[in-house]
Amino acid sequence: MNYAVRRIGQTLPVAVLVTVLIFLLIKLLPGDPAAAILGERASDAAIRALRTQWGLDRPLWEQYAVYMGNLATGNLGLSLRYQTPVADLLPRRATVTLFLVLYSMALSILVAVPLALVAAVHRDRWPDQLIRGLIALPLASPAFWIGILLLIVFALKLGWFPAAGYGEGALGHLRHLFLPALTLSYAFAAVLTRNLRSSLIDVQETTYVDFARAKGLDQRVVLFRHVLRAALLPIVTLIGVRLSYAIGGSLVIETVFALPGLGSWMVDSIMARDYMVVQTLTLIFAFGAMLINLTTDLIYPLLDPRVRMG
Amino acid sequence: MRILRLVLACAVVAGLLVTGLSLGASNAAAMKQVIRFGVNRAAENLDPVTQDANPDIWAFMQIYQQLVRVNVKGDGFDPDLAERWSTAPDGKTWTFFLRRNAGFSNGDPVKASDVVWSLKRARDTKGPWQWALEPVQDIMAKDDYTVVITLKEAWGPFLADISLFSNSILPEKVFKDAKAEEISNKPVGSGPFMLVEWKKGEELVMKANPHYYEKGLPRTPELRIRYIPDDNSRIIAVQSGDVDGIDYPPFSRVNELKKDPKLDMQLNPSTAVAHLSLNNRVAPLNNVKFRQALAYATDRAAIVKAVCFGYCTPATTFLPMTTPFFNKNSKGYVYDLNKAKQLIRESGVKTPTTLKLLFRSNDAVHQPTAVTLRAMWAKVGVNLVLEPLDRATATKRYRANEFQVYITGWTNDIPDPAQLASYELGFTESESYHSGYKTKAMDELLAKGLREVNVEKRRQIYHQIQELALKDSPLIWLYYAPYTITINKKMKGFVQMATGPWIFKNVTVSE
Repeated sequence: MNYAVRRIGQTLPVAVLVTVLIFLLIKLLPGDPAAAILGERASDAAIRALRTQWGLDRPLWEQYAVYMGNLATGNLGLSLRYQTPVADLLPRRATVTLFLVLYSMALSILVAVPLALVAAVHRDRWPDQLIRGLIALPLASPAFWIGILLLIVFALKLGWFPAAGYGEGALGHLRHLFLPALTLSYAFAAVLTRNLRSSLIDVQETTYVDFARAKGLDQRVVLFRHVLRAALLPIVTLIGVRLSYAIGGSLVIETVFALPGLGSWMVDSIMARDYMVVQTLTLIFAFGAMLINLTTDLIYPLLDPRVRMG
Repeated sequence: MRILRLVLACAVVAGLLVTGLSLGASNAAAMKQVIRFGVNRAAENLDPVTQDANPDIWAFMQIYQQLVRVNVKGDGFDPDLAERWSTAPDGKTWTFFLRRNAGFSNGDPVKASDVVWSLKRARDTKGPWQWALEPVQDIMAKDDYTVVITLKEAWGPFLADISLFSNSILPEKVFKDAKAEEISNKPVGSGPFMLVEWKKGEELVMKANPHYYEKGLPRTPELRIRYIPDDNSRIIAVQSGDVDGIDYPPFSRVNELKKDPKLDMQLNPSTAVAHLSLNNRVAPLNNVKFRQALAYATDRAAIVKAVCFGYCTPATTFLPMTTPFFNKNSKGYVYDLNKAKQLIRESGVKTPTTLKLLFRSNDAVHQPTAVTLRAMWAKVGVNLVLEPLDRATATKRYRANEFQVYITGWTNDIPDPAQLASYELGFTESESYHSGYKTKAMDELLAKGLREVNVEKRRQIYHQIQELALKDSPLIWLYYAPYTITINKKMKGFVQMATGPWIFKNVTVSE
């Protein structure tokens, strides 16, 4: 309990610091949202009027105070580009990204667990060599390139999946998100396979596994009840860390596959200097990463009581 | 054995996922009543009075109508909400007679009071298009279907101005007391389509306006404009049949797309001119001979080859080829290194000299333009330092006149040279494209061009303007670019205007 309180206590000042940093960083960016939105041909008077309307001509500290005040009351401000409250646009976007990230996690696990099992059981024999060789490939290929390749093969040549967009209805979403999720899961499946394989091998060599075998337990029972379960523990941390990466990866993947998620929204909003959107999204990403870390930290003592002692 | 079974099970689950998912593909068959069009930039705001970005304009042109519309070729006008119009002999009073069968998508008829309200709003709302109604003295409704517009003085490009999208007619009753964002978010117009859903940054869903005056149009009841920012993905989307057409495939892919038997790769005549803004305020660019030398040292044919893969045309005047009064006989600056060197000597500018070239880093054509220019100008002793910056930053620097050379471009919004001439060569609107160029001779010619109503006399004036612009070279005009559009051959009847907007009302997509 103490551990949990301490960890949450450490997170709070970081959260406040994050809001200040995000606010200042975006204001430090050169370029003006009014000019970006009105375009090259707009008159100076029109730009000045828009800046006043949006409060961009007020001192920085005042803008920050207004921002924090709004944040405290759950007001995320207005998307300057779309003249629509950020809070109205957020749910749909967040759903897409969350769906994508979880989908890719599920695909990664679906691929990695059987591969790691085969590799670990056949350690240093040809199936193991083959799998280890295969997973080196995705680790060395950039995600956008893989994305385009998948598009060419599965959308263009085979026509199995749509090339772009989010689709309609649950089945439509599942279908539209398959290729992007696969792209996002590609590298992670490789990392997961490697780690799970070595973790499985470590556990297989422990004395309690020897004991289980000596007791005459069925090989399958040993492998699934004792080895796999224990080997999955370090993987929980890995999944936590990779979740943050996956959210980062969504920036590229969502642009390639024209998905209306948080990542592509972020890229577009930075280009247009849509301050409130960039601020909100950075905050969400930062808090998301902090929350994942915190959750991982809090889960860990549940899985391994020794952590609490430290 | 157990492991193999697990592997098999995973494979089966994955297989089911794939096949199960492809069941969803059958939905596509039901979508044949829909035109799906992929675009490289999303619409952001649909208020016709305040917006100047093409994605917004081209989208809301499906929804709104004006009194008159530009013909497809871009050199004259067709009736739209006004079925006919007349001008008083002094050229100062214009009477527009509205058609009686035009209706807004909410079912209300389009009346003269809507025209008066909309045009007054366009004239009085701060925005980039107020110039279009600047010569207007008053706008009155004579009766429900007659509108009289009086001008302060006779105005050559008035019909062109009134055809501008910012002068779209909106229903007064719906928007009279509404906030501006309501017009953008829930637009109502009398055009062929009406907006039914807007997934911002994703897709615009439009349905046929049942009250549109041209019976039987639009021929396809639904139009979806989908945002697909990545060029490669957008091309794959049209190749795979995911969408029926896309805009802006890059020039580098045109050849390949032309060879695809399923696709129609269109290079549509446009009013796009690529040019360099030169900051005439600072040395050595304040020296006219030096500017002329740079114009001669610019090998436009080589730029067209490098940047547009040969699909553009070297520019010979500041006007786009498709604009009325374009001087076909103008040769422009023909690449001539010796002449360039001689002019630099005459200018007294010491070489080697250094210039900074500002451009937008994320622009597919600006980067190769910059690199090509650096190589060309080095031959006359001008070292170009490249300054690629992101769009917002580059625009800010340019607007603040903090640049020496800036790569930019233009597209006309009206089929008349007055808009571009005033913007590019007249100081009051934009400091002559931020070049700072201002001469008495040019100002006089520009004023004459605006006030002359005789077509032949106007032609002569704009020919003189083109000549003088070339002589003074405040900017360097590079090339005329076509609009690139790729559509599936199953899509018929698609038209793109020279001023840019797409026309979808005649489009059908066969099974």
